[in-house]
Amino acid sequence: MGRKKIDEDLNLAPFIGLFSLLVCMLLVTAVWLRLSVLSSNIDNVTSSDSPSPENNEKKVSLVVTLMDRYIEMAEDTRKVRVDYVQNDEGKEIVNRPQLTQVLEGWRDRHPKRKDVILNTENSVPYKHMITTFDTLVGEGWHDVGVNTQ
Amino acid sequence: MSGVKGSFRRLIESPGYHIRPKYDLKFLRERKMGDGKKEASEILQITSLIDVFSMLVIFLLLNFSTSGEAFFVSKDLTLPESKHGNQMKSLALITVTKEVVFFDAANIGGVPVHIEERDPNMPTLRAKLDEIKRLKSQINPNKPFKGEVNISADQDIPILYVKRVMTALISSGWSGINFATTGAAAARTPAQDE
Repeated sequence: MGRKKIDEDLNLAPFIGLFSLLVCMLLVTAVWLRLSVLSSNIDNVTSSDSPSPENNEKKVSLVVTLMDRYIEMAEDTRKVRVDYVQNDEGKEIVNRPQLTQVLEGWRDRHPKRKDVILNTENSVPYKHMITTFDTLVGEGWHDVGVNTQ
Repeated sequence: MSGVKGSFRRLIESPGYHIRPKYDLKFLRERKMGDGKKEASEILQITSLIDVFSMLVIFLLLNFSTSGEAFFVSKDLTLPESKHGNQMKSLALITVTKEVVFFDAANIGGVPVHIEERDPNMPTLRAKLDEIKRLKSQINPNKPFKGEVNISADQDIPILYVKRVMTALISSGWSGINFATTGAAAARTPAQDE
């Protein structure tokens, strides 16, 4: 007696239909450009102009100033200069490692502080400010007040 | 029928293979029907197709965003990169270029706002910012106005152009200024944000 031959092939047509639909839907909703934001703390700048009413202890001002040729990192009167460096393409960029090194020193001396004032000269490229801002946030200085003067 | 080679005429015949090309591929037909020694395979090999689809689905699932927000950046604008940014929220967007400043926002009534400002003192932008602030304060009188805005600017423009916009924003009471950057938002713990 001959037995009826079993069709061992899977019916893949529904899978292909489902995958096609998934691919179309995901292509439409895919995020091709990932954006993020760095939030500035305006209150930090405004409050720094007036003495803190909570305590009379002198608060050390931590100010990062972007100049045309270098970054000046001031801890009250103590100032450190961080020069810009050139990348492989010959473009001027912020020296992140040196900046991080100075910030680590600040962190050791001011472990609880999170506020920094960021000043910039008008001719400095916007990307330098963002790179500095990003480095500050990455090192735990989340309250960055950008001075608009 | 007479035009097809290899076929022969019958008065009564059972319906069967009836696609008649110019040349009847008799041997192939016989193999497909199982008449020949070897059976020709008629199943398409779609395993590789499913593999490709699977890879595509996995790749696209990784790029899937549940935030439901779409942000459009002009192709002439190159945003600076960051590594430690927060997730971008849907707020009013100010695009800064050397020539012009664009302001786009969904107004309170749902009417979209679009402004092009070319004056360095930004009188039109200031007026619109004041108007939006006044309207929002009227709608929610007990809630303090927290003017939040995203600023997108080309990475190579001098900071002066961004400062002008920031000055206009602060003087109009918009203090929540966020700088848009490229790069995935870093995962931040609530303790870090405090």
